[in-house]
Amino acid sequence: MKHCSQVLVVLFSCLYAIGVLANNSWQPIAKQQLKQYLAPYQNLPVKGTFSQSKKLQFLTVPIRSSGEFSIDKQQAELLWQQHKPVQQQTKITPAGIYQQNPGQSDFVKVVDDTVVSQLLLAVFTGDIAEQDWFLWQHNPAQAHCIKSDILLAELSQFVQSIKLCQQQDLTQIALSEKQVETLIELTEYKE
Amino acid sequence: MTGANGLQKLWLFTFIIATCLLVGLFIQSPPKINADFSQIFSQQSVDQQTEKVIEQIRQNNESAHLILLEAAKLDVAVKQAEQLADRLQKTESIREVKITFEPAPKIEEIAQFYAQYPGAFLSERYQNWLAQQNYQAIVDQQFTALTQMVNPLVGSTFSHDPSLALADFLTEQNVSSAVQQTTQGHLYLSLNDSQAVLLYFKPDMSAMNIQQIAAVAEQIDLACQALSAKCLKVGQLFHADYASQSAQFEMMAFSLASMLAITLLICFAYKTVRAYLATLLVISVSIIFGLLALVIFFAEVHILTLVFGCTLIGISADYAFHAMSELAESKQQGQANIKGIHKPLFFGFLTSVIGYIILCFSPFVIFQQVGLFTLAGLLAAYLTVIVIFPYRSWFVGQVSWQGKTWLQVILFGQNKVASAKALLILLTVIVLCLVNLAMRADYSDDVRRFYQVSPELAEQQDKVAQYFQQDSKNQLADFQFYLITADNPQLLLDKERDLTNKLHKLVEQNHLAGYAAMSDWIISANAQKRNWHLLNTYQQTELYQSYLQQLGLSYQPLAQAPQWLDIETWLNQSFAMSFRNQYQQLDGKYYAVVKLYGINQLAELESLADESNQVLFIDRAAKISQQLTQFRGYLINILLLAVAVAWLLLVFSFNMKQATLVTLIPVISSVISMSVSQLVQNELTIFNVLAIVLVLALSFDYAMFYLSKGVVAKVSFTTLISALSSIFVFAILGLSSTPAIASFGLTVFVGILSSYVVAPLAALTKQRDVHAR
Repeated sequence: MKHCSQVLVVLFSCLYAIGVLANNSWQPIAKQQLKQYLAPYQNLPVKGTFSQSKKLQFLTVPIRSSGEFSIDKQQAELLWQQHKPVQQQTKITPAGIYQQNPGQSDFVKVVDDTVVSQLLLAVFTGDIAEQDWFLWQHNPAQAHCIKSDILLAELSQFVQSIKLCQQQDLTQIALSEKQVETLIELTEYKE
Repeated sequence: MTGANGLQKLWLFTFIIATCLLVGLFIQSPPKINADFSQIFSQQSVDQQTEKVIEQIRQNNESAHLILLEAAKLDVAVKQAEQLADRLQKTESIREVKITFEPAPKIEEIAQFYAQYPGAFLSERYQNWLAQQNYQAIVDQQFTALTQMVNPLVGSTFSHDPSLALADFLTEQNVSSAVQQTTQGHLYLSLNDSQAVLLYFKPDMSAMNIQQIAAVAEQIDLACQALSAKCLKVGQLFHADYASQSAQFEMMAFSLASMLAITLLICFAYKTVRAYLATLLVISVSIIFGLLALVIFFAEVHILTLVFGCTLIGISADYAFHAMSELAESKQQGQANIKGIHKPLFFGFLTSVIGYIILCFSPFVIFQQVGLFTLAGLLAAYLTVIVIFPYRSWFVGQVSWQGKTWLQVILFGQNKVASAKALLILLTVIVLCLVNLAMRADYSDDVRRFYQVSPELAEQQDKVAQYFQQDSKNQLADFQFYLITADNPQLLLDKERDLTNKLHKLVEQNHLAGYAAMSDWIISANAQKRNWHLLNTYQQTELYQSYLQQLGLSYQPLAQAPQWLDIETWLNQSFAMSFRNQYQQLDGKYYAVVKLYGINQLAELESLADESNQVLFIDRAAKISQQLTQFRGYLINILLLAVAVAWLLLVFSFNMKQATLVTLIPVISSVISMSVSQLVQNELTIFNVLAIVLVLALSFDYAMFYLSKGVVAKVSFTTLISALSSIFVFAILGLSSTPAIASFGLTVFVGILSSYVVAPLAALTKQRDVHAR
């Protein structure tokens, strides 16, 4: 009888572990449910503040930066004004990524690769349904998040996966590069 | 006149030998017919060794052929590309058919490679900051890079180089440009809703004659027609095929039209089969000798030479017409001979010879070939008429110009022309034409506008360019490039670096969209050493130590690579593959090519090369155009000189007044034809000036007959027939699809027409004889 109860404990433990694991794993979103899952991320804040935390594999401390951002969905343009640790403005358009450092009068193109800027714009403007380089997944254990691996080989050299989370007034965008994890938090300005 | 004399036997012997020789040469080693338009005006402009390198680069560039297989879906395009590749691999004369390429290098791999040479490679701005000890700017840049939303180069290089000097260097080189879109090893490009897969092949153009080029092009066309994907073709083979097809068609059409015109004229004028055969004999002999001269003196004959050569038919037929008319007239007077036209025929021939000799000494192979072909042909035609025609009265046609009303009308008009009043009117016309030319004449010798590119190929080429432009990493290079020479690879890299520093400024000023140079990726060992010292000095500063502390890192001394990176090691890397054709070594000299993209200001680029004699700006088309302009200037001067010499010769043979009148005729015809050509074409070219050589020769020819015989029915009749035959040929040339030939045809057409109209002016001093036979 003692053995029987032990077997039952092990069995239930295994079933619980399987349940937890199943609940924690990321599963592709079915086509018919995609619209419903993506809906919250298609209306991200268009103006507000950001804080970014970058973890490099060889660093013990993350590199933090903060500033303001604004998105012009019509023009497909993202303006990223970093205040700390150094002042700089970054403009992301479908044609590339431009930067303007203090003292510079014009934006200078720093990334010519249009796929990177198009990916970032797609994420920030919420245009994430049509792009075929995404494979969106959901995880019941993280109901307020969705995640996608980047399917386009050329693009995956820059970003391997993207995770979007939305909870109350906070939007989180996590970008995974090789050896670098970037977490961006967006807070919308209240009218 | 019954038995053949020594001269006639010699002529027959020479004719037989020449025919046998030509047939033998055609069987033994048929001449290569060249249809490559880029070779028409080839001329050496630098030293032989450099020319060899340039030629090798040109062949490398031109041997690369592309076909983009365009379809709505990528998998369809890939499948079709594979099918086409299978077909091409089975085709002889095509080598290196490639549809799959080595895996594209990864950004991380490139970063790892350069990490082996710490401190050796710096971006321009990083180097400037270090040199100016502006270390704060470096720290700012380090934080800028570290906080960038996405920057794979930071992740890839940070563990080797926390100063991020290497990341900045690779960012400056736009390192992702070495990475291309591939699917299962196939390179593909995207445009709107369509995808195109790239197929690359190398036809062995140097070993192919026009028939083989046509056969390969046809096989590719057939293979493409069997596919559902659209083939977009780019390469010299397709242009050469189109050029040869259209030139062959025109050559055939012009020859047939000339022969038809001459046949009709003979039927109308001489009315006998014998006259026709006699004319045919003169034409055949002239073509045989013209071809023989070409085959003996040139290993390759350009197809355009043969198109221009069709004009020989009209000119040589002229000699036959004059001789037949003279024979007919002299026979009625008792004895059939051509003594009466020896002098004008000789002077006409002499002026033609002077004209074509000028072409033989031109610096361009196409003009040399046209000059030699026509010169040899005309000599043969002249000798045939002089030696063979008087041999038998067999050559005499049933020609009669008596009682022909139309001829009376022409004679009446010509008598009006042969008057002082007409001379004054013509001189006024000349002044007006000269004013028109002086005010409005605009010359353009741009060699690219002398031939027509197939509209279909041009459209495909534009589409291919659109595909490449869509992908900013894969643009098509311009035809112009820099060639740098040095005694060793290190010096070569230093010189190229000097040049690219200047080019960088031109790119910033938007004079140039971009360039591709090795020295952006690899610098000389000395430069690498200097960079290392600069970075090492910075890394020992307190500012750098503080930066490391903020990141929680400890200082590690900057390592030095056991040896600096050299060209050979670098070129062996897969990401440097596209630069392999940009570096050459020949007889102890080293050469580097800097490719240029999107040139906006040509003059600025040319002036950069002028600053160093070891940097050449190679712009083949512009150089040839410049040489053509120069040659056009020389040609105009030589033509003026030739007219002056002809006038002097005529002064000695006739008198001052007659010589001046005869000389005025070619001058008037030339000025009128140039002026009309200018009005029709808007821009005059070297081919219009070249046509003047022929106009002068034929005008002198007509004028000499009027000077010798006056405005008489026989001369009027014969010049009409001969002018008509030439006018017809050149009017057809004017319709050619090749702008160079069309320009030439138009000017000669107007020139001969004017010559025929004004030639009776030469008889101003002669007694007019409206009713003479």
